[in-house]
Amino acid sequence: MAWSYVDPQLLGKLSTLTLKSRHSVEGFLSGVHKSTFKGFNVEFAEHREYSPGDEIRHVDWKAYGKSDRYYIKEYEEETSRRCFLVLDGSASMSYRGENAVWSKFAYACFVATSMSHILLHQGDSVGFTLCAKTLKHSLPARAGRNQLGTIASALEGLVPSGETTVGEALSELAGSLKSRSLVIVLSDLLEEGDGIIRSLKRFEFLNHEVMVFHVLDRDELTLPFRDTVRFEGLEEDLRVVTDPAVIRREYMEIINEFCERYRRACVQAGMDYTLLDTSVPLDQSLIRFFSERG
Amino acid sequence: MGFTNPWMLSALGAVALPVLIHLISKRRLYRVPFAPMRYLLLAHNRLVRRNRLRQWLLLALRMAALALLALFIAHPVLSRTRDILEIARQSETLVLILDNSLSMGYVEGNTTRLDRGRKILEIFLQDLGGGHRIALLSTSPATPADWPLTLGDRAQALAALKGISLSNGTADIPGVFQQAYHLLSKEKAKGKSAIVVVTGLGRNGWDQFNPASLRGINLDIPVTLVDLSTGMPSPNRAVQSVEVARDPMQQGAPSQLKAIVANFSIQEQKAVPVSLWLGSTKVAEQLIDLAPSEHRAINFSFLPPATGLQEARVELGPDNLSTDDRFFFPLNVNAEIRVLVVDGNPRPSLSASATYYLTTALHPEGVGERGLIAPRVVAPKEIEGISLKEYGAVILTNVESLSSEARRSLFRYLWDGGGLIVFLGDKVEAERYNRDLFEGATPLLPVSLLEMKTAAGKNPFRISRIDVESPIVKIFAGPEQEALRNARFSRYFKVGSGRIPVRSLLQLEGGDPLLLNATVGRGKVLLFTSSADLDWNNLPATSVYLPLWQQAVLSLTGRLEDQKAQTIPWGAKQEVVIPVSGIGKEAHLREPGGRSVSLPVENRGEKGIAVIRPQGRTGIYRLEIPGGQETWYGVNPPAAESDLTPMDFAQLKRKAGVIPMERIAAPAGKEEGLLGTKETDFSPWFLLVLGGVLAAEAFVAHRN
Repeated sequence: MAWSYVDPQLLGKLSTLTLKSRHSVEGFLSGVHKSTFKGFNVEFAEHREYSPGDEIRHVDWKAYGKSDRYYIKEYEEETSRRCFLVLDGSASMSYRGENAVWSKFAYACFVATSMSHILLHQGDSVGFTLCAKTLKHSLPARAGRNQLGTIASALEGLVPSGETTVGEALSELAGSLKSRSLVIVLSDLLEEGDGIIRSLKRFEFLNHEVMVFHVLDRDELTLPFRDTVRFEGLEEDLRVVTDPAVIRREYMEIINEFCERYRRACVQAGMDYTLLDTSVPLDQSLIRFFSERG
Repeated sequence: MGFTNPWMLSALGAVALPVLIHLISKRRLYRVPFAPMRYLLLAHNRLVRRNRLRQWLLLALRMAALALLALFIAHPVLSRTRDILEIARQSETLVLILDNSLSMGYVEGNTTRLDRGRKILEIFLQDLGGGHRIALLSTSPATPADWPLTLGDRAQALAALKGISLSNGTADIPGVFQQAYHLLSKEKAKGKSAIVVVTGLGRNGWDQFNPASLRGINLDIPVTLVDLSTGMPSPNRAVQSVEVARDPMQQGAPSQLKAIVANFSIQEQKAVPVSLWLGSTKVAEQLIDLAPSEHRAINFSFLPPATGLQEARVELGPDNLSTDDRFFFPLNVNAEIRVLVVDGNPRPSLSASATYYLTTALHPEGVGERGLIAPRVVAPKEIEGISLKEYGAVILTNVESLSSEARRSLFRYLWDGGGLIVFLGDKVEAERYNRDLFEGATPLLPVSLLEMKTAAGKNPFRISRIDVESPIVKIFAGPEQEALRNARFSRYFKVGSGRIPVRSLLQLEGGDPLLLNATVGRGKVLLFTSSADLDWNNLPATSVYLPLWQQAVLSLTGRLEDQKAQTIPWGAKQEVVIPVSGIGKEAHLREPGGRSVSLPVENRGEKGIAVIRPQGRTGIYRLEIPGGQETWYGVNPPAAESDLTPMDFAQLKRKAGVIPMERIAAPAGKEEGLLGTKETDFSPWFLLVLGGVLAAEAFVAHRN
């Protein structure tokens, strides 16, 4: 089955990448992340005295030879992680500029599937939440290759609509997460008020790792229109007739200030903030993200 | 403010274009669904006030640019329409001068410049309020004889204006300015004065303007020139003069005449008809091409159809100034002179005859051809049966004797004004001649004949003295006399004293007369003391023989004394000599229209003088001198007046020096608005402002 938002070529390019958690992960399955639990994985951690019930194969026979006492070797355990993709499905995400191949929503979907592929590939479980006032959808976090298809299928046929509720969705998600998780936010963040920032700070408080992908079209960043234009709001009933050439400089200052506010808030909270310009090819954007993240 | 192309003002409607474009583009606005509307609105609202001001400014600049463009194309001119009236209102005393010289007859748009000038002054006078003292003067002539040179009111000026007609002469600019200053000097204490001249500003006339020559000039009086010219030389062609090759001409004989025609324009004139008229008959016509500024001689060959003085003219095809297209001149055409030659020694051979050389000299054209003189040869006995009054002259050649009847007939003929030439010869006996023709009841000879004198051997007699004062032989005053002096005479008759005054025109060596002239009654007699043929002299074989006897016949028939045809420029003064008998009497100058002017004949010492100054129509003027003789004059415009090059105002102003002088252009068709149309072209200023507005628009439009 072919999914609209899954690009095999792109996934092929990304298959060698891994997205390691910046924090320790509380997980039950082995993965690429350091677990908060000690176990019997490959990386030695410490010795403890043998107690009945311990497996004989974990006894450090070399230490027994030296001390004549039974010690058991304990190792740092690499574990899997729970990841949640929060995708903005509001009407504003439907915008697609002349220079862009995809709408912001489509671009975000591709990012979501790509990130899911990487995470699932490295053994993480991935969940998915679509947030919009009139469009809500969520999938629980699961590992396994099938999860990518499930997510891709869920994204299939979605049409962004209604007002954005990213802040609300994040808030609900923060309340529902039991263990430390990776939350990836894909949104244009065009929501009135500081709801999103407050929700993001809550994740920080709960020790969740958050990545914010701020998806904007080049038109929204540079207002390249010529002649007098009637602008009409995608979510709100706002309209204005103006000459973009006249207000361009002022607008760019305001929109840059808006992006900078989110970037600052994310950095202060130890979150990753990445501005995605939908006119930039997706592979370039993701590779740059991974290279910057290290 | 006025406009040269006022219809272009309709383009001012284009001012609405920016508004229309704005409205249309607003209806066709490009719709963009946009997400970050709040930020867009924020930016828009921040800039909306500043931007609105900018938009209004742009709209205003664009509308102004369109309006300026329309106004520029409409060619705005500032019409200070009340200039002349302002001068007039400020002036209690006004001298208005209307140029009525020939050039003012130039037609532009079916109206002469004079009529345009008259219209301007009419409007001016009608608009002028009361209380002004006005004099109206014309330039040509500067002082009309019946003109009251006083200041009057507006009504008088209007009436006087109607009396000014087009002249055919040059404007007397110094004269009319002298009159103006003379008039205004009398009114000096009565308030401000002004001089307004309505003129074509023709160079011929204005070039004589010289303030230094004017008396009583007042430098405070402003002079305003209302210039009716186009500022460029107006195209014109004219007949400048006519030269008659031979005057008088001979009826029926081929005659030549040369006319000088001129093209006073910078364009070539093609296929211009030039015709010669005698009275109402066109006798010759040519089509000519005239190069720019060319003066060309046109030769006419024609046969004068009638005799007597005739009104002749050379006429060009019509142009905008018609008066100088015709050149009038009197043409004197005579009938052939019939001469009766009495051959006293006829021979069987024509060339052997005594009259052969003489008749050939008098009629060199040959048998059957028309000529100036028509000789008829008869025998002496035939005289009695011939009516002598039909002949201009009678010539006796070697006549032995005449019957008494013939002598009486000849004497009566001579007494009544006939002419007689007597040649002697071997048939002549002095005693008989003296008895019959000198002493008898019919004295035809002025002197008696003495003995015949014969040259000895090879020493012929020669002419030693020529009376070059005499009309007959004055043609030998130059080098031609050498041939006359070289003529050899082998025999002649000496003559005795005369009973009447005798003039010796030619004298032989030794003092004996060869050719004598005397008046008998009203007639004239010439006595040649030698023979008419080669028997006694070789004169017939010389080149002087023909002119001598043709001149003699013309003299006897009064043709040498004929008044030459004359032409004089219109308005020029000419003194005409009148016989003493006319002193105290009146001569009469009859103009082409029939009007007759009496002229007193002044006594100037030994002669009477009548002064003529033709100032009526151009054409043939006839001066009747007391005593009945009539002289004709062709009166034509001064040749220079045909050159319609206007005077350069800058040059004129330099000549005017400190006299405050200004010029108001009054092109054809602008008479109504003239009182006022001292036009200043404002279109360059509009163009400049338009450029500034466009630059401002570009600056504002591209300043974000």
